[in-house]
This record gives sequence, structure tokens and C-alpha cells, in this order.
Amino acid sequence: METESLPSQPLLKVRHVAKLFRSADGSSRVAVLDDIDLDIQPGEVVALLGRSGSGKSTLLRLMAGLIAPSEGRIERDGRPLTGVNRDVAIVFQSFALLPWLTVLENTAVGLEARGLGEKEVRRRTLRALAMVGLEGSAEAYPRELSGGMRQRVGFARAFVMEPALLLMDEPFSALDVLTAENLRRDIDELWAGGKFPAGSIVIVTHSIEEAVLLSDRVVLLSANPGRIRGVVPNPLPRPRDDTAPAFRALVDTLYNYMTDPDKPVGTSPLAVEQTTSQDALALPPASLGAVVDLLTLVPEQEGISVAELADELVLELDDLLPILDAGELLQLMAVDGTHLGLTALGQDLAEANEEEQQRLLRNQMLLHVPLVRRLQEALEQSAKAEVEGDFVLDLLSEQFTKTEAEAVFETLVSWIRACGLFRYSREQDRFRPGDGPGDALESEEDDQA
Amino acid sequence: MALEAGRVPRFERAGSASRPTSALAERPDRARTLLLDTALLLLGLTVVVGIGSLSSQMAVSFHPHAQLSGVDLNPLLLPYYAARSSLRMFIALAISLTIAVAVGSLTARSAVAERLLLPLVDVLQSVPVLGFLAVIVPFFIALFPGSLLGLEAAAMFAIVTGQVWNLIFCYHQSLRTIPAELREASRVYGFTGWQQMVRLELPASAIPMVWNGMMSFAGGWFFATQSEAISVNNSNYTLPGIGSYVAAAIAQQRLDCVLWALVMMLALIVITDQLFWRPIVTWSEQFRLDTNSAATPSQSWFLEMLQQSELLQQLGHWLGSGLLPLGAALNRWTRSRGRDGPAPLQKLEPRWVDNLVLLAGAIATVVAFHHSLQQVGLGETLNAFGQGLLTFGRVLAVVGGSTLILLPLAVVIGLRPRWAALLQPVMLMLASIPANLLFPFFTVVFLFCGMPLFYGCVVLMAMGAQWYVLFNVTAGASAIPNDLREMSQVFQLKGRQRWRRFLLPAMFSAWITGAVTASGAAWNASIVAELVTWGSHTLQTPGIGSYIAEATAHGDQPRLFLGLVVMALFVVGTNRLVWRPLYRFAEERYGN
Repeated sequence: METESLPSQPLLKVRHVAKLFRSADGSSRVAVLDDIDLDIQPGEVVALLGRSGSGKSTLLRLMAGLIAPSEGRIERDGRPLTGVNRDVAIVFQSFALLPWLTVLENTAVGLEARGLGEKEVRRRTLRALAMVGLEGSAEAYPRELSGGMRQRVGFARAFVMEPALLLMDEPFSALDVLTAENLRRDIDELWAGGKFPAGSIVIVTHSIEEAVLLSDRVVLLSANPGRIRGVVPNPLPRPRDDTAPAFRALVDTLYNYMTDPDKPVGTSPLAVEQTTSQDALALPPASLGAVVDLLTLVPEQEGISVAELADELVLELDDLLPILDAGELLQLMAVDGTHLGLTALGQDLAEANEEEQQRLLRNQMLLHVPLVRRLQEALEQSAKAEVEGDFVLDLLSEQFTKTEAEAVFETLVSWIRACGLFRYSREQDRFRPGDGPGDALESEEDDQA
Repeated sequence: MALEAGRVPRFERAGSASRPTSALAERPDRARTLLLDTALLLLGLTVVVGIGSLSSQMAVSFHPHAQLSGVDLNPLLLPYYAARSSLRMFIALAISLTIAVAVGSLTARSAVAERLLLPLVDVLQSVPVLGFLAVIVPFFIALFPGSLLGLEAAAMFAIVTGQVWNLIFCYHQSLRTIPAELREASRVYGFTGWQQMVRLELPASAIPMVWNGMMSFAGGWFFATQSEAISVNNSNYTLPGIGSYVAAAIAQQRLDCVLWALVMMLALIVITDQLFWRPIVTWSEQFRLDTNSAATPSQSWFLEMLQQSELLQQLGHWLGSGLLPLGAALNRWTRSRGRDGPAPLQKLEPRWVDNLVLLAGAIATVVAFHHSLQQVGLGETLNAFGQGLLTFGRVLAVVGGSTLILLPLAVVIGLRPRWAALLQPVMLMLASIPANLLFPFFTVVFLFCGMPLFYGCVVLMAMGAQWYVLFNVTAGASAIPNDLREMSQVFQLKGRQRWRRFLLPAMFSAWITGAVTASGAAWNASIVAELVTWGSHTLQTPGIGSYIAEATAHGDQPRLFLGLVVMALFVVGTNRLVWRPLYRFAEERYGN
């Protein structure tokens, strides 16, 4: 458990691992993870930090042996991992409790599977429940518990296994802010006290503060495809104080990396190469309305720090970053490190009236969003000034999996509707040119018809 | 930006003279549109003319003593017979939907109607429809003297009674679960009764009604085929259709004809699925109440074709504007007189209605048995109960057996999303095959190896019933959330523990739904499975099904009546004493 323990034999070795999924048109395969190299040492806490689409949950499932890598290999104790990894327990984001079992029975499933005697199972299970403060609720059913208590059962179920490696998949993100904070503190204290019933922890998160609070090192993942950008060590003494200047400094550093995907991390020699072909057509999953709303919130001249903004809006970074991406794509915002500023056009747009805002947005989309331009060209070419939705999906499906392609398609529809650039009728699955301002409303009616 | 300079968009390269790729982007060109419209027009005309000529043949004159002579075994005539059967099915479906909407609206609005009608509907839905054919056929023949319409009506009545109860419950339930805020909004904005129905209630119930209608339709084929050729009171009544074709093939021992009929049936199921149900299911998805879209939106090539047709769009416009005055008139008539709009859904629960229903049920049962005792005596009544017990045992065997055999299979399929997506529509189609079309093959095998029908009829009864178990349990298994599956893998649940702690509880509710439906189907099937014929050979085994079938054939009214009451009591009894408590247990224990 001591943090000084020398890394003799890693618990888990991930070597050149890639995970590919079939693209929507079936012609090619899209990489979710690419060339991942990572060792998990005994006694350490590793946080996997990345934006959505960075494949961090996929990496966690690869480590658990729930899915197999498409390329590369994963070794456990020096031997290739086949099937489910017997060293691990998982704490799930959605708790994954069986609703028909009591808290006690839910906690005991793993021990039962090991074939331990009934008495021994009960003794250990009660001890684990006591550790998470649930000894009084042993006979309750999960539906009788609050979200926080349910996740405590999730922890107890993992603790009771005393796993060499505990995998946590965004364990706090389904909980409300206060409950999550409470539970995080408890975990931190257990670990700091050396009483933690697991050898090592890998935690997947998109919350920077969570990563800094819990980890010994933070592995930063890039998105589309997920690659390791670099590793940031976290030597802060435990238990950690999230108001300490050193803590804040580390949070700021990580913010810096997260808001600027191209910034090289630490000593990592790996410069993340641009994946232009894919980024070219992708749209960040944000609504145009949110972009405009955010513009009006940013002080015009001086800008604002991203961390401050996230705090102020009580937005998860995962929700905030796509909005910033959209703003940057439309060249309305400029993010420099952790500092968010407005471009000249962004300032104009923030002050304009609604009609003018829509006109500006239409312009920017035609100028800077490749997918929109492809659509515009197709509309001009078409004799009847109509384009089938499948045309756009076909363009996207060359590069994305089906779900990704559909997500981008939905974003596109919401964008063109928000500014009335084109019209789209879902029933007929067709795009048509918009005829100037005010037809955003019309296209909605079209959808109803 | 780098990509602006580097990338030459596809369409600029393709020049304007020939645009090979732009066809993709454009709407189908003129020629294709024209072709599509012509094809649809022809199809529409064929359907209209077909329905017209078929329905004119429904009313041809008919003499009750004509034998099976009307059915020609030439396989080339099968499409005609199939069309006759399908027309009956669709008319019956329309009637069922109308009744369901009418009764469902009533029960959802009036607490008295709810308390009074729903128990009645519940009992009626567990009554074996087939047994009542003997009672309703003479009634309808008397209603339309000298015309085949009487038989047609009786057949449709049988189909309707097979599906309408289910649909009533479904509609009632969907109205009950309309979000309160939508109801309030419709009152605040002063919806008329008509608006309330077309703008709120029908759309809100569309998805469950479509699914339920599809399932009921699949089950309806059994009644449709069975009611086309029945013998009541020593005379045979025959309606042209796929069922009577098979009946004639059985009488003449023509296994090849039965096979042709089966092939026709399969084709019919696929066609109705592709041209009718698939488009409707896809279309109805726009009525989803929760705003997040379906996980896997269904697709229908036929619906896409219809939506692309300009002819149809034009037709729709004309029809829409033509019906506008009608809608306005309906709005005027249904405008609420009070100031605060249509009455809200009532909430009071008059207990006395419950007691009244109970009392009426008890009195009806006592009177029925008194009547039977007087007519056939105590010995016969006990005999009927004994026969009922025998069939009850068979029903249990059907449900138990199909569970034991199909549960592992369902788990294997259900836990593999790709297999499930592939096989579930196939299962639904297989479930639609009316089991009685398969009986001749088994009868021949039984005759050949001398297998007694006492056990053999369990297999026959299972033919139709098993699919409900398989279908529901597969759906249950594939509905297990992915995180729970991963949990069971990571925590190494294996063997007995995996089944006891994880799989069985996870699929329990789905299994009950399947088992209830399966046992209902098995009870109905017993009437045709405990007495089968092949030409001059007759196989019979004791049981309440053969008891009813025999009484029907011989026109033995007292025994028929007794048999029906006994079977209804068994079905209602098991529903109330076994399935309902199990269901409640499942909801309390296993619900989230």
C-alpha cells in the first residue's frame, strides 16, 4: 500500500493496444483507442482523464477483460490476459446492483461465486458494509436506498473481493454534487489511512478535481481516436486539501491540457498528430443556443478563465468543452491555455439582435464548417434544391461508427435549424435551402407535418 | 484553414454535364418518381378492386346443408383463399380497434364503467373463444338468413373476441398513463372532446396500440383459420379461406395440400408484415411521448416508398382539406358546455360496484351449475371437472415443458444483441403461424407410430403456445442492462449461482407474461388438439377440449354449456390464483 513501493512487476501491462469498431457503412473500421501503452503498478492510483470520445471507459473494460483488444496485448502478471481478469473488481457508473437482491446479497455475489462457506461470506460481507457505513441497511433492497447509498453498496461489493486492482468507471458522476463530494472524501481517507481493501485503483473520470483528489498520476487521453497524450504525476500529500495552492495549481495545469487538445503534455515525446480527415466533418455535440448564451456571459475585453466559468455555471467540463469547441470552430471564441476570449466577430454577435445573430451564424457556418459547405454544394447541384439525409449520413459514415455518425447528423440538424440556414424535414428525410431569416420556425412546422 | 485549401469537394470535381454522384444527393428523378407513383396507383387500384370483389362474394347465398364441396384443393386457388381469410382478419381488426377505443375511452372517463367493465373484460379475455363458435354460428346464420354473410360475421366475431379484450386493456392503460400535465394543458386550452381524442388520446396510445394490434393480429390467424370450417349440430359450415382449405385437405388426406397452405400462410405473414405492420410501426414512432428517440428506430422500405410518392402527397392534401369541414363539425358538436372544458378523469372509486361485480359473478356461476345439474346430473358435472383437470395438467405440461426447453435457448439468444435483433422478427413470424395448420403433419406421425394422443396432444398444444414463452423470455434476457451483464462477468457469477441470483430473477417478469399468454393459447388449442382427424381416422383423448369439441359436433347443448363453464372456471381460476399473485410478486420484488 505504501506509495514508495518499488515498481517491481506491474500488475497490468497494456502494450500497443488498439480497439477498433466497425464504421457505419461497414467499409472500414474506426479506432476508438489507438496505440495505448500503460503499466499499472501495485499500490498506485491512476486516473484516466479525457473528454468524451477518448475511449477511457473502453480502456477500463479492456483492462477488466470484458472486451478483447483489436491490436496489441494486455498482460497480467506477465501472462497475456484471456477472458475476464480475475484480479479486478469494478465500481460502475450506474451502480449495476441487482434489484431483486438485498444489500447483503448484492455485496456477497462475488464471494459466493468463489465458493466460500456461508458463514465466511456473511462475516466478510458485513465487514465490508461496515466499512462503507451501511451495516444497518443490510436487509434493505437497492430501490429503498438513495443514489449515494446505492453506490456505497457498489463499493462494498468491490471491497469484499479485496481485488488486486479496483476499476472505477466514473463512479461519482451519477450522484448529486454533495453526495459525490462526500463519497470521494471517504474513498480518499480510506486510501490515505492504508485501510483500503484493494491493491491499486484505476479510475475513469472527466472531472479534473476528482482526478487530482484521488490519483497518484493522471493519464491524459486525447479524443478520436483515444491516445495517451501523456502522464502527469501527482505527488500531493494525502489526505488532500482541495483549497491548497499546490492542489489548485495542478488543477489549473490539467485544465490547460484539457482545453487545448493540441498542447503536448509534460515530458511525453508523443506529439498528438492532427487527424484532420476526421475532425474535418465532426461537429462538437453542443447546441448553437448554448454557444450564443456563453458568448454573452464572457466579459468582452478581458475574457475569463475556463475553470472559473465552469465553476460559475456549475457545468461539468464534459458539457462545457463541446460548447467551447463549437465556438472555436465557428471562430467566435478563442481559447488560449485556460483563458477564454472572444474574437471580434464573437463580440459583434454577442451584441447583435436576434435576426443579426442568425445571419452571422449562417455566415460563419458556411465559411468554417466543412460539413455544412458540402451540404450547401450538394443543394446547389441538385436540380430540385433538395438533398436526402442519407447523403450526409453517407459522408459521415465513411469516417464514423453508426452512433457517432448519427450524433453528428443530429447536431447538424439542430445547428441549421437554430439559425435557419437550411430546412430539414424528418419525415421526408430531406434538406432544403432556407429562405432567409425567420424560417427556423417554419422548418419546425415542417417537421410536425 | 488548412482543409479549405486542401480539399476539393466531391461535387466540384464532378462537372456539370454528367453528375454521377449527385444522384445520391438529389431526390429521385422524374422517371423514378413517375414509376413509383404508377406502381402505387396500380397497387392501390388492385387492392380496391380486390376488396370490392371479395366482399361481394361474402354475401353470396348459402344453404346450411351444403358440405365441404365449396373448397377446391387446387393449390393455384390458394391466393384467393388467403385473400378471403385476410380480408376477414382486417375487417375484424378494424372492428376490434373501434370497440377498444370506444370502451377504453369510457372506462378511462367513468370510474363506474371502469369498475364494472374491466373485470368483465378480464373474465371474457380468459374465456376460450373457440368453444363459443358453436353458440354464435347458429345465431349469426339466423341473423342473415340464406346468406353467407352470417358465417362471415360469425368468423369475424370469433377473431374479434380473440383480440378485442387485450386491445381494450391496452387503450385504457395508455389513457391512464397520459402525463397529468398534458391532460391539464388540454383542459386549460379548452380542447373539445374531438380534439382531446385526435390530438391527445389517440397519439398517446398509438405505439402500444400498434404493437398490441400486431400481436393480436398474429394470434388472430388461429381463430380465423379455425372458424372457417366447423361442424355444429351434425352439419358442416364452410367459408372459403385458408382454414377451410386445410380442413378439406385433411378430409381428403392430402398432405401436399396442407404443405401448400402452410407455404401460403408463411407468404401471407411476410407480406402483411412488410406492407402493413412494418410501415405502421415505423410511422407510429413519431408518437413517442418521451422526447428521446428510440434506441433502434425501425425502418420500412414500403413506408419510405409511400412517403416519396408525390401522388400520395397530393392525395393526402385533397383528403385533408376535404375532411376539414368534418373535423370542424365534430369540434362544434363536442365542444364542452361547461366553462372548464371536458370533465377530468374521475378518481372516485365506488366500492359497491366491486361488490356488485363479485355478486353477479357468483350468482352467474351458481345459476350455471344449477342449470347443468338439472340437465345432466351430478355425475356428468363431476366428469366434466375431471376432464378439466386432465387438460389443466396438459396446460401445465405445455408451459413447464416449453419453459424447460426454451429458457436456455432464449438466454443464449437474448444475451447476444446481434442474434436477438436477427431472430426476434423471425420468432414473431413463426408465432403467427396458426398452430392448427401444423396439426395434420403431427397427426400423420402419431398415426404412423401409434403414439397415443393422450401425450401427443401436449405437443400439439405446445405448437402455438411455445412461441410466447420463447419470445417473451428472449426479450426479457436482451433487456438485461449491459452494466448488470458486465457485473456478472467481473464478479465471476457462474453455473447455479448465475441462474439463481442473476438470470432467473432478471427474466422472471418476462417469463410470467409469456407463460400467461402461452397457457391461454394452450387452453384454446386443447379444443382442437384433443380431437384430431385425418381422413377417416379420428384420434381422441379425454380432456375438457375434446369434451367441448364433441358436444359441439353433436349439438349437445347441455354438455357444451357445462364444458364451457368448466373451462372458463379453470382459466379464470388459474389467472386469479396463480398468475396474478405471481405477477404482483414479480413487480414488488424485482421491479426497480
